[in-house]
Amino acid sequence: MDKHKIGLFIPCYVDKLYPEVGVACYRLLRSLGLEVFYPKEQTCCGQPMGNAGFERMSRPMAESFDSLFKDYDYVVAPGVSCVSYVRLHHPTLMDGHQCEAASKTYDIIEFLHDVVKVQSLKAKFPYRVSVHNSCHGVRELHLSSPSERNITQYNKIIDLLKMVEGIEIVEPEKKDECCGFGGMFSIEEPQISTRMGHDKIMRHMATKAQYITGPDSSCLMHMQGIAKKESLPIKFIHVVEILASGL
Amino acid sequence: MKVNENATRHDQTFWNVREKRDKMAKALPEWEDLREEAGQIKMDILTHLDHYIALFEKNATLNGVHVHHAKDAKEYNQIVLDILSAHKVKKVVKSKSMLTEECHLNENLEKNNIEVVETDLGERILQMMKLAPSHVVMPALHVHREDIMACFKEQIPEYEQFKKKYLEISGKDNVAEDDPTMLTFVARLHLRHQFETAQAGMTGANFGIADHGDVVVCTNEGNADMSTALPNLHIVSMGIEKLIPDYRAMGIFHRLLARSGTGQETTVYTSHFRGAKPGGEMHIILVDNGRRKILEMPDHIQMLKCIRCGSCMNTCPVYRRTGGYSYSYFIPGPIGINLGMAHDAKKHAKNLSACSLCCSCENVCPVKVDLASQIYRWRQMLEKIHKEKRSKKTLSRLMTFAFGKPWIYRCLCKMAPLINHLPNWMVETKANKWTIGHKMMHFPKKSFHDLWPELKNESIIVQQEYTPTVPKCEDSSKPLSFRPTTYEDKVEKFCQTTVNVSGAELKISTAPEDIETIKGRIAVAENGCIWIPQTTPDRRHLFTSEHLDIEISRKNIVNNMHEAYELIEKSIEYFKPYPFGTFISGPSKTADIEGTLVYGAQAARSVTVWLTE
Repeated sequence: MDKHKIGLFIPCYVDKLYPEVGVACYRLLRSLGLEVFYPKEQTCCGQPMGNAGFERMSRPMAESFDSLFKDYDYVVAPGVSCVSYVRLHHPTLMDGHQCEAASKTYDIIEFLHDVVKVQSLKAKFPYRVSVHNSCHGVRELHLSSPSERNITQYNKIIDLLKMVEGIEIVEPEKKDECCGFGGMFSIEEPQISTRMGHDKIMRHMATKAQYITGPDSSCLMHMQGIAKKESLPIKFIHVVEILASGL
Repeated sequence: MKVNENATRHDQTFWNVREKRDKMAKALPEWEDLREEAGQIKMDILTHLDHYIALFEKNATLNGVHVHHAKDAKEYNQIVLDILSAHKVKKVVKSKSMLTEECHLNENLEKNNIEVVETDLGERILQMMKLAPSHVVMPALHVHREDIMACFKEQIPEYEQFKKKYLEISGKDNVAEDDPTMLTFVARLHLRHQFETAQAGMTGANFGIADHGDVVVCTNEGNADMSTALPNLHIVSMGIEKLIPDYRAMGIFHRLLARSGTGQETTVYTSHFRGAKPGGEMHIILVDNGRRKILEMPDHIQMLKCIRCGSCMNTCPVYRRTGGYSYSYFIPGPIGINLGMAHDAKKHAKNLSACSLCCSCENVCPVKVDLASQIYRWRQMLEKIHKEKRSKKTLSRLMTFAFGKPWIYRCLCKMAPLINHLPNWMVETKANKWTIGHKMMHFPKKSFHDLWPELKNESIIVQQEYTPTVPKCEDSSKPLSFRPTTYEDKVEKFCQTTVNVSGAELKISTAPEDIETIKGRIAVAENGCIWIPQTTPDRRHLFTSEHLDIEISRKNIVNNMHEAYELIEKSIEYFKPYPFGTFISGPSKTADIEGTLVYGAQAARSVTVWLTE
């Protein structure tokens, strides 16, 4: 049987600030017998400009993303917000042609859970972790059931984390309230953004967790920045790093 | 925007409402189907609006109601003024209406020497304190009880006398000066006098039912009913988007409105006005004021589906921390951001930043308005109206430059770690807004890109071979499996809700002969509502009585609002000869003072339900 070709998309800020998340993602996919490629010309998905109101500036990013990734069977990225931008917005940003990459672009969590359908992992992480359900993961990529909805409760992040040996998984109160990052929101409304982040960290910490873990490094980066500024004793780790912790 | 000085309390207050709403939503298995259906009904109305307006007008006119059309606020105010002048009205009692806020009705009437008295407790408090509402449903929840007390003391001359009366009837020796129950009682007596001396009553409309010409008004306090049961003149102000087709739709919207808005199964009163009271006159003013303009905007038409439940505000993490006054438009929160943009984009563009695009609002909205997506789309037009923020544009341009060519991006990546070595004063500058609340991030020496050459040659032990398979998409075109909840024992359920939800006293027997009871015709198990059509020329006793005794036969208990409305629609006896009917669920209540639940706001202070065979 032919191997499926996976294009690895490492969002710009993960590439630059959290390379270890990209590494974990790559190793994890390889360890599941998958063939992974990294197109070197990739940069950014264009979300920051779009959310700020300058979609026209996102267009060239979307175009180059599509031409770089369209020939892969799947595109996988550690970063729910970027993936949801690709999937929901890129199709509207193409210059007179079909967007081919968007529909096969997955966040690593949903890819492992829904497409690869991982059954077990050799990971070990003997800590108490509080799960950060990122907004776009919850409400756009459906990684977990939004607390607002009356639907069957599920959480794909927790499903995967449960395969990790020694881990203790908790969720904070208001389990999927926004942490206040919101891209340029965090610098346009710094006071509100910081307040939301602070409140969120406090609720994570109230669970007595040692780590806050989530599927989006941008939320983690935001909370980490606040936690450092306020000298709050809590650590941050991307979900995929935990899942790949045995590799 | 700034974080509110009372952010912690404000956040908690509105989060509590959100939690109550969640509980309601999760208690109904058909909740998501109701939302979907409600959204579709509204879209159907909006895409055939002229048809429904004509139908509504025809039916309302047949009911003897005068229907007016106002294209904007100015026309609306003139119509109201003309009607009031024709009746020589000096004082108007008014129930809550965001449309009148939108059109600045009160100022206009006062300019013309007509006294306007708001009768919703929250609105009355704001009117006395000269404040604007900070929420569409709980307008004064941000005001502290001490301030309300001070305001009442200053502006209600009979304050001490009313307080004494409160002590008398409650049998208490003393009471805290800022006790919400006492303050509500003082307001009750104060407003009683206003109802009795006004010559006209004005209400908004939660729904207009095209098939019958009914105007439906939902309140907890009963103030809309008192505003219309006492004065002879009733004027309804209604946005053209408030129409719904029929009673089937009414059943759906009724179940969604209070559950979403305040986390209640129902409001205490759901009143259907199908015409003027005997000897009176009823007018309906259908107001456009920019709504038709929104109909022409395919990207934004959905905001006209809004039923003003306020749930998007309660869930919005920004609103909960900043409060209603931090927005420039009079309606705050996600829906207000959008409505403001439609109303005057240049003036209200700055509100667009008050959103982190978390999308929670879209998931609570009972009619599925695409609130956050619309905010995203509004942001895209800021450049066209020259309202884009320069700093954001510069940053976006820089990013476009940096990410536009991979080699530029790579060069910049190589240089980024230098930032780690800069002294604090060079990093934490005024221009770097990130460092207001954050410690600057640390740039590792090697990016993922730099690590890749080694990484790709790494040998990795395959733990298990997997073959990816694309999951099957759920078929979203399947018809709704909409089946309303029914109860094994609806009598038992009705008894429970009557006591626990309505807060009424329940007696399982026929009322003794010396008690004058009101005949209920339909009782609803899911929420304790009892349908009471008007059967006497004057209906004021339904609302002005201190206590109500309602008699209902257990044979007339139905499961839910759908069944109730089906019966009302079928029966030709209701609305004849008197064009009014109301659902009552327990005593009048309010939580307008700091969210404290108080029974006996304006109308009946207690209710006994006599359940007969």
